Amino acid sequence: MTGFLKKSGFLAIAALLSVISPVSGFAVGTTAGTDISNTASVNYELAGTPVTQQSNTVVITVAETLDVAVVLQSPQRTVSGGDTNVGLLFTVTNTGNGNEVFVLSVDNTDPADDFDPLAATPSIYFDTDGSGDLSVGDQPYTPGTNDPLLAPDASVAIIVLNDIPTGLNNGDVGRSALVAASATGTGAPGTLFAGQGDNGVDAVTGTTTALQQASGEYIVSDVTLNALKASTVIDPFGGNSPVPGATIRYTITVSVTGTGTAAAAVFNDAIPANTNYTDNSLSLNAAALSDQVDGDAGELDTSGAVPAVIVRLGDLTEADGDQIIIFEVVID
Amino acid sequence: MTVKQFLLAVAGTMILSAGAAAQEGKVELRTVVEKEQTTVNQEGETVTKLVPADKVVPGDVVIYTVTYTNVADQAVENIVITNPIADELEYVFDSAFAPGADISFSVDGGNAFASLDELTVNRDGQPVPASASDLTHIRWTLDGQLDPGAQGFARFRARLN
Repeated sequence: MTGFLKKSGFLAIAALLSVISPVSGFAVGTTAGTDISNTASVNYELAGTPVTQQSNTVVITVAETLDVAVVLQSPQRTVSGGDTNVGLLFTVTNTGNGNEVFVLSVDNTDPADDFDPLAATPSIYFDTDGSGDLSVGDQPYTPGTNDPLLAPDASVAIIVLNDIPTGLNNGDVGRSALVAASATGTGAPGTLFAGQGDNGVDAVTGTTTALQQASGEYIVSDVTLNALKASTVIDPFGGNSPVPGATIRYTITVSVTGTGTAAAAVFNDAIPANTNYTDNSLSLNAAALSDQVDGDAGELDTSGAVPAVIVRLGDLTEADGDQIIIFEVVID
Repeated sequence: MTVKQFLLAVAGTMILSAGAAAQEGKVELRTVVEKEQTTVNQEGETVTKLVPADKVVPGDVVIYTVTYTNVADQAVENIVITNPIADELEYVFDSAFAPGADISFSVDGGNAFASLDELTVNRDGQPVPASASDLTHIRWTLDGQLDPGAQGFARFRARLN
């Protein structure tokens, strides 16, 4: 731990403790500052008389290992040029064996990507409510003020916010890294910080060098969702005249163009005036969908003033190809 | 108080304040703990040496060495040295060593001792062979007698959890 923590920063850090939850099943070893005593004993016979004696006691005190893990939790984020405050979720875990403060920062300078995301102000938030994205109650992080104090095995969820520059090309990728560093110090494994561990024990960097980072990705996409609607009329007399009693069959072709993903695409089409929906006529890609709200992807929504056909297409990409929706109505 | 009483009082104080010191007796028993430090030298060879165990972190291997010396003026017999293995430590298999000694272990806090291949512990109600983490004590039983002035040692290694 740092001297800083013990002074001005303590209150802010204490207030933060509520957001820090221990992760079970992640063993980091014996806690820093633990004393392990050892006393041997000997039994022997001297002139036939049994004697028992103790040795001196030796004590080893477990030093503090400084280790940290940063793990990206978000999938690749699809963005458009000019988007603001697009979040990436990370977890920072204290994999050392002592209570440790970690300093966080954002590094968007990856030379291997197509563009550098622009860190928002502020750019780092604690996911205080655990929602996984930025919410009203999430607390912004200010270096040196509310650096997270993590017990061994404890982790904290962090949201990194970036703005996306304009003038980018479709398919461009930009990376943003969250960096976490032990406040006591960082360095090659074995770097010693004498007397700076918990309770004044020595602190030593472990295999992670007490400095780790993980990157998330933004990909630029101008996804376009296309819908083409065609109709065929079948009249009661075997012809194609739109007379009362004739059936209109609508065929809607939905497709995506662009490199990105149209997330949770939903098709919604009101039943035209002066027609009535034909029961059980709805289908998606030749598979019938029931009219009821149930487990399948579509239904006839009768909750509004005008009934409407709804089909949930899920996450669509160009590779998914055409999605064919068919339903029928009868002219009054 | 008399000078004699004073000296006794001082001696008593010294014993109290020196709780970590070895007990006085006919066999002097001393324990030392060291740490194995492995480095790669300029020739690229791995070199392991013993250093003071002043910075021990999880995963480190420590070595306990118990030295016994007969400080009596006559031989002592049937020497048995017992050393606990702390909860935070895991015995390193085959590391117990003492010239001319039988080595046995305990899994029950030092009540019963047996050789490693005879020890079992109950897991889910079934006896299974003891593992390194089950061991609570190690014991060296020495052959023969120890003559006045003679010395020997017992040693084992353990890894910090």
